[in-house]
Amino acid sequence: MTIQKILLSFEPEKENILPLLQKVNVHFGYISKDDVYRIAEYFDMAPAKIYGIITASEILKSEKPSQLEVAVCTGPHCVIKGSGEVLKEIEKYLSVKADRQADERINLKTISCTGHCLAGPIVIINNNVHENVKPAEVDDILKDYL
Amino acid sequence: MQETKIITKLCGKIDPFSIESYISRGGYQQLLAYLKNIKTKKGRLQAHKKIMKLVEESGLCGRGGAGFPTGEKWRIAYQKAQKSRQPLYLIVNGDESQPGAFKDSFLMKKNPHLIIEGIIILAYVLECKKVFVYINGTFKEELEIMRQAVTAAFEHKFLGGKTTDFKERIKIKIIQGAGGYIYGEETALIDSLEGNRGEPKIKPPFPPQSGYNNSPTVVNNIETIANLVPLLEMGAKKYRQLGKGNATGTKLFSVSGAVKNPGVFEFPLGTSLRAIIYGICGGMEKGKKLAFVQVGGTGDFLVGKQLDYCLTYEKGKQKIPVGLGNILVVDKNVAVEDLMFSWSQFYARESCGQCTPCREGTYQLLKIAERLKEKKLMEKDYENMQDIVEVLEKTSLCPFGNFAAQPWKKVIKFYGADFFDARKRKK
Ligand SMILES: Cc1cc2nc3c(=O)[nH]c(=O)nc-3n(C[C@H](O)[C@H](O)[C@H](O)COP(=O)(O)O)c2cc1C
Ligand code: SF4
Ligand code: FES
Repeated sequence: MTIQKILLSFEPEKENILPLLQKVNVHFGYISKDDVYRIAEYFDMAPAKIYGIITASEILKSEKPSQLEVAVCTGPHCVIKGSGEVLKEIEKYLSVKADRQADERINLKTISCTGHCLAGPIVIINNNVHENVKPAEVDDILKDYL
Repeated sequence: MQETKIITKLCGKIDPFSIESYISRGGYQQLLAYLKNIKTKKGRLQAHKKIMKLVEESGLCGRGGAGFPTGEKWRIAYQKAQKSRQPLYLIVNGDESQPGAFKDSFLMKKNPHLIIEGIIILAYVLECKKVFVYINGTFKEELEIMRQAVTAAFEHKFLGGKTTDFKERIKIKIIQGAGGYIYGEETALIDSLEGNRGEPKIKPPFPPQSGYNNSPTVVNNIETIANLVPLLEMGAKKYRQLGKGNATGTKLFSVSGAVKNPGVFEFPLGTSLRAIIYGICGGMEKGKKLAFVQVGGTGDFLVGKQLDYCLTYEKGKQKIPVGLGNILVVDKNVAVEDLMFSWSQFYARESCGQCTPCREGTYQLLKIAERLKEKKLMEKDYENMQDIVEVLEKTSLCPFGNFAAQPWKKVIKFYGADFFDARKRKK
């Protein structure tokens, strides 16, 4: 589907901005600068306003995701269940530090609770949720993505 | 102590993807009974009065944290809409993004039609034509289940028909939230629905007076809405018998941390932490000793006798504010610094950034938490922390700023100032 087609599937009403952004984000994996301008024009808004929404959101992305997107939950339950050790193992295996500038290849970040606490520690890799992750399993899990 | 399953009665017993399995257990009977009574305008007004009275008498109050009386909220919005002839909007808050809270997610996944039936009845009662259900954007399964539940309700003509003199069709729109804790705050949620960044607004005006598109708007938590059908089934008197004092009905608790059986459990308001933790949760995990319990994300660190206090929306001595009902059980193996870092990271990340005390304060607290964790505290960190906490409490635009200060206040209240001294760098 092209951006034009997605746009036309929504009435240009303010209540449709968020649903539209979610749809574009899922479809292309992120919302490119060109698309932001098209969307802004369609809704008769300043592009900065659209960026405002995207940058405040934890889901919408304004840049192309890295090949490997790893998010480790460091919310309270996961901390109690040992996510700190899991994170250390992942940092070691990938040789990167969490929450630093991402590159094309890897983006390793921590997140604060996904609502899946009961299955913690939680690690999300390229949108797949891994539950009850133990430090010793980290190598095996990551190997499948590399 | 056994659970008191009122809201969760059918959870686990029905297939959330099948409206028939809900109907076969008595589902949608309350809606059908209601619709029978509202074929004329007179009947509709009578039914409206009856339900408003029932809800006010029941003592039901909001399950989204603040515990505002639900009947009163509905009345304010309804009267405003009648007077100003503006449309009334209903927004169901399923943003649930506080760490350790997962009870709305549980309800949506286990019994979506209980929520949808409640929404439809309430929409009729308030003469509301448009409902938004704003769900945490990362809840993929919940979004899918709720979307198909709305479609199924439509196909079964529970939605969209011309059953009454209130002819407009009721529309329920399921919205994938933008993803973030602050969207759970009602004015930020409304801002996000209006196509903006999603920033809290100064109150008043409160949403029942002026909310979505400046119209009267009722914002209710998922669990609050899920109370309506059971309440209609049992009546106000029986409902009031559940609970303690003026905190009536049951509450869902999300229990996480170092207990044997964490999960979502339903108990009458007024229940104690001990009954939950050492009852249904089976006590501490093997080999783990209790350090403290924290309720609602911002509560005191609780131990000993405090575990026998009531969990309630009432204020007073020996009472624990339930908030969203999340209970975090912390054991002695956990380094409290790690937990403080976790909370500080959360608040620094989730601040919407529109006011300086919160944007800068949460960042500075995170830096202090980082040094605390690495045992590299600086000379003035304790004093600075206290200053920041005070400024956050006194000057933040929305309650978030105050929440962000609480873990620090509570850790010092529990451990004393020594907590910092003991963690300075050894010279
Ligand atoms: C920072 C912040 C986060 C909140 N998050 C939620 C939430 O996730 N879910 C919710 O129902 N209410 C949340 N609330 C409370 C809402 O603003 C609002 O009071 C509530 O949805 C009203 O519903 P109720 O009357 O049924 O409780 C939050 C409030 C604040 C200040
Ligand atoms: S207190 Fe924090 S979250 Fe609330 S409006 Fe101010 S910056 Fe935003
Ligand atoms: S704390 Fe990790 S999922 Fe809730």
